[in-house]
Amino acid sequence: MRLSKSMIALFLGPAVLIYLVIFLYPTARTLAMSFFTIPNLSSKMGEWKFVGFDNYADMFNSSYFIGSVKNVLGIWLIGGVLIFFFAFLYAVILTSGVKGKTFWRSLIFLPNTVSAVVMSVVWLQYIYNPSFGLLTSVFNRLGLTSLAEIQWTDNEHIYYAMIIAFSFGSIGYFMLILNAGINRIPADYYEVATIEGANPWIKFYRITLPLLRDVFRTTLVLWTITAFNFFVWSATFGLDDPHTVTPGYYMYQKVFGMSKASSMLGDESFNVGAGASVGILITLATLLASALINKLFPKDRLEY
Amino acid sequence: MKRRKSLAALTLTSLLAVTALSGCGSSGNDNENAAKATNTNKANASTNTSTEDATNKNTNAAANTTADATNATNTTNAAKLEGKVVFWSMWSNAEPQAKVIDEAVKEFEAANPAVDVEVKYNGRDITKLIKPALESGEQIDIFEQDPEKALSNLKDHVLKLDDLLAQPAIGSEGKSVKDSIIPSLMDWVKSLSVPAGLDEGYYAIPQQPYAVLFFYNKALFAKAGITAVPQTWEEFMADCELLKQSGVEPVTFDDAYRDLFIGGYLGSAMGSEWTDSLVKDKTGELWKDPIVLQFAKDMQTLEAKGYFSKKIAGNKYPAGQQDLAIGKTAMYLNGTWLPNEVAATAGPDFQWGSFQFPTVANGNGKGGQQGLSFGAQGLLINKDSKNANAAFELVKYLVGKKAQDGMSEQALAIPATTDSKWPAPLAEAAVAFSNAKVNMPWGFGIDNGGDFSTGTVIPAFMELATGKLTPEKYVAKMAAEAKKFYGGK
Repeated sequence: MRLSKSMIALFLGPAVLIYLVIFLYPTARTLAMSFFTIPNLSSKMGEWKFVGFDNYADMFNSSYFIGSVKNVLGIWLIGGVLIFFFAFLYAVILTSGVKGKTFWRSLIFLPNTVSAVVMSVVWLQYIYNPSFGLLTSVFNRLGLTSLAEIQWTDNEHIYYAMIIAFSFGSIGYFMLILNAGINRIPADYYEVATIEGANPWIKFYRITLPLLRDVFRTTLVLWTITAFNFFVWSATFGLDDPHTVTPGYYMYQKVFGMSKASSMLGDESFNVGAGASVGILITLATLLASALINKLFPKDRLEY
Repeated sequence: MKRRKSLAALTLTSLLAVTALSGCGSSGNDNENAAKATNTNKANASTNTSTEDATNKNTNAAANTTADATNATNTTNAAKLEGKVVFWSMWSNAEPQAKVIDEAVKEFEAANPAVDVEVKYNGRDITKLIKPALESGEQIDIFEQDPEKALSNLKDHVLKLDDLLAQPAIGSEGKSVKDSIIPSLMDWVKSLSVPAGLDEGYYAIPQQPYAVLFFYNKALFAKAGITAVPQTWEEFMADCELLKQSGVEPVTFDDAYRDLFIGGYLGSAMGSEWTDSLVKDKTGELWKDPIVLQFAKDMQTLEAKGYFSKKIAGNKYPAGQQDLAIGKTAMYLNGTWLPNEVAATAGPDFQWGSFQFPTVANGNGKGGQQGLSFGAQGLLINKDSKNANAAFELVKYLVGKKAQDGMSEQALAIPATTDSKWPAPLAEAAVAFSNAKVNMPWGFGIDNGGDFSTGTVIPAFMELATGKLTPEKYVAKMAAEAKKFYGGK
């Protein structure tokens, strides 16, 4: 049956309208805001002061902001490698016919069901704690006192400590998607390969990986979006500490004026416009990264 | 040690449970109250709407004195007050302060049955929520905020309270509200008005005063043979040595309060105005001042001699203050809220003492013990409140003697009223309050550099405090970083 154009418009209309109102309008408004100095979130347009690209220029001059960008790229890369390595590993193990599949899958996914704030308190106060944390206790028990004395949350270690803690909780989520992808691959291929004498590694590289490309691309985009918007763990691990700050948290500081001295500084740390420009940059970076990923992993439909 | 841990875990879980339960409880009450109030409101609605009008204040005040001889609490409020009062508090409902507030509200409602009070316990999130909420016109009659922050950020929303403050206080016989509160706090609140761009006057009623002091474990001091608190940096270092020899860590701090240690030293030497100009210095030359090198050397000595806890670099709030509470560390620089915060771990037998940051030699005479980083939380009334009189009446209960005594006893907070007794753990803090002539901002000005303070000053200090930078290199680094940071502006 062919639908007339007006019919299509009628059905699409509500969805498009809602999309425009709740997504496109805020984005456009944020873009406009990024060119102004705005004292606070609810200021009327009349109170905005046009400053052109000053907000952007200030950001690129601030070593604090540049540091936050470096932090987030590091999180994307290091966290990405960690997460995908373990997510693939677990997904392959789980689909290889291991006993108690559902149990293991639930266990690995479990950290995702706990609030990020709770998870970070657990990591900070019970795992990394220098007096009675898990790491200290275990290393002491093993007699590795030099390892037990490491301050996992000091300036040198906190960044990696944060990435490890965060990745630990994220593996389950990506494992689940990859797991579903692998399950979709018909078993015949593996059977044939087994008959031909292929070992599990060859099966993984020659069958699983190529046929999973589509799913992998999607998870990579998802991961990129998650990483670029990294926020909660940055807040709980370091607050405004330059070693853990990310653009997402930097934006929050600018919009809500959470820096300790915001009362004395006025515009300096309480500038919604500057926050908006950070938001725009995050959006642009996400779009760019997604485009790059799509370019590197062309979308070809796999039929099986 | 092990027992402590499980105890702490137990406390945490029970706290969580209490939070959850009290959350349910209070919302239940709210509904009940709301239902009650709508009934009474309907009955009274036609008789009086004058409370909405600020110009009727005087007639109300007059009515106050004559009406209601039968009032059980013997206060002078008018039964005429009615309507709804919304109070946004900075405490969360599991904190002891909330219980004291609940009691005060109950007493207020008993005396003013026609007024429906809604208390919203926002916790510290109020700082983020209050401005958008006020601007969007949400009904908030009273809100709790740091007055300094509130007057600079929310000055279009605050009501001048000068006339209302003349009303008689509740629980302090023969005194006005203004006279019942510690005068230096009232003066401080008043001094904030003009710099904020308001007419001179009172816009906030101070309560929960705090000061930044060194808190110490008296038992550990006695064991180390220390008889008097250190007044100067030399005495402080000597005491550190004694403490270290007695087998405890002398000093610790948490990541959240690193700034206090830097600011405390520089502020004590040079005053907070100088510290402020230091972090805002665009040329970086100010960092080459000899006092900065002296500071760096003293910090290096603290580190080299092992006076700093080994864990300062890794301490995540509240790990360091727990070390103080369990008796592993002797001193911790913090606000006077500390004994209350760690009360569960420290236990009732902990002997609290406190002293001001020691005086530092070779300063410019503007620091020392005359300057204290003190402040208070404040109760403010929304300028657009439709029920300002009832709101102020409630405030009178909140800063009345009974509620303030409750804050002192239950929350270990310093009472705002002059004739209330200070909580025992803070008895020694009174010395600092009486020394103080100049109010220094939070962090003694060291945080005033914004991104420069958080991004450079504090991390560089940590490198110094962990022995990764020599004093000379520290000075050179700070001068260069300041120039670089401000170069782009």
